[in-house]
Amino acid sequence: MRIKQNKRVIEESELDMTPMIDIVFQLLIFFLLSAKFIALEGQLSSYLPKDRGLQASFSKIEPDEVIFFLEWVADPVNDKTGRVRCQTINYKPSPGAASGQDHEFESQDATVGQIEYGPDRRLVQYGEGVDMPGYHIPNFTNIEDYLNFRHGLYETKGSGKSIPVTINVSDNVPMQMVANIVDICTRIGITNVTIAAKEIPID
Amino acid sequence: MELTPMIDCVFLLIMFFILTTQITVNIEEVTLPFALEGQPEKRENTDAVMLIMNVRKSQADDAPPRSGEVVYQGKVLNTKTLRTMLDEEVAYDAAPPPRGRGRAKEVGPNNVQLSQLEILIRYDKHVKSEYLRTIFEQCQKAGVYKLKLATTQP
Repeated sequence: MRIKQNKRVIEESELDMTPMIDIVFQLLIFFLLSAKFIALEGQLSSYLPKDRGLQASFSKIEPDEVIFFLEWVADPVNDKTGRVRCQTINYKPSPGAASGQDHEFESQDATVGQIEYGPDRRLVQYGEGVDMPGYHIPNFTNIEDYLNFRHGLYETKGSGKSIPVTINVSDNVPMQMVANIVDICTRIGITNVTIAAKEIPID
Repeated sequence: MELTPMIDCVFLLIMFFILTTQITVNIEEVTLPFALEGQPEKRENTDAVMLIMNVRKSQADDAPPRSGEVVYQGKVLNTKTLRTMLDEEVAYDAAPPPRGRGRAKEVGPNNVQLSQLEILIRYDKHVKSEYLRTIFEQCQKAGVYKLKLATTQP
């Protein structure tokens, strides 16, 4: 009789797990939804000049330096789109040629979405469909060929250093184009890339 | 019904998600520019300290090229606060252990003091590049010269 009673007491005192499990599931779902997963990201290294005190970069332009000018030209009709103009200033484009000559790269239409890019001319997505109508961008294949050519010319001189490249961007050019030119330089093996910064006093 | 194993599993899952959200707290949602040559992050140098700076689209729904804002640890920065933040981080990095990491500054050409801090710039590809210039300028003035651009594969 006694033993029976004890058994019953033990069964009754068993913990009710349901509320705890409810709460734990709530927590689980909260953290599941709030977690953002890091997509696979790459990194392009770039180093600022170390001698910031002297502003030596203003006086020292090497004769073989390639200077890119990226400029945003808004479309006069449709303000949702525009064109990125890319030109270089060459102090000595090739032996015998006049220095100071501009070389403008032709534009290509990226509004449709895909363009050819890279050494194997693969198609990559550029615009972003309806809410991102896109724009006309410089032909990166041409830029890559051109930089390869200039890099080759520079290497034959045998200074053992990489050709200096400066990217001079106007404010309105989307970041993607800057990243593309840095990317092309990295692929060719140019380590001496500067992104030109105008001196603007702090407000 | 035996509930203990299930509760164990669920607690493990919760711990996992708590820890992963802690890690991603500095990362804003931006569409990174694509580049073929972007190298995955190397973890061989464990001493390296990398700050993550985000440049995301601003709320204003304007035509491309979009305007943006510089975000660091969830806070939007302007030129002044960006500079203050960089100076603080550089000072913290160089201060002796109780108040900082105590990593000696490098000495560059012309005896310029350079910080060993690295900055990863996660820049939205649709945003205009004018903020890049501000970041570069301020980094250079604060003596930070190791910058990295985050990219993605096309």
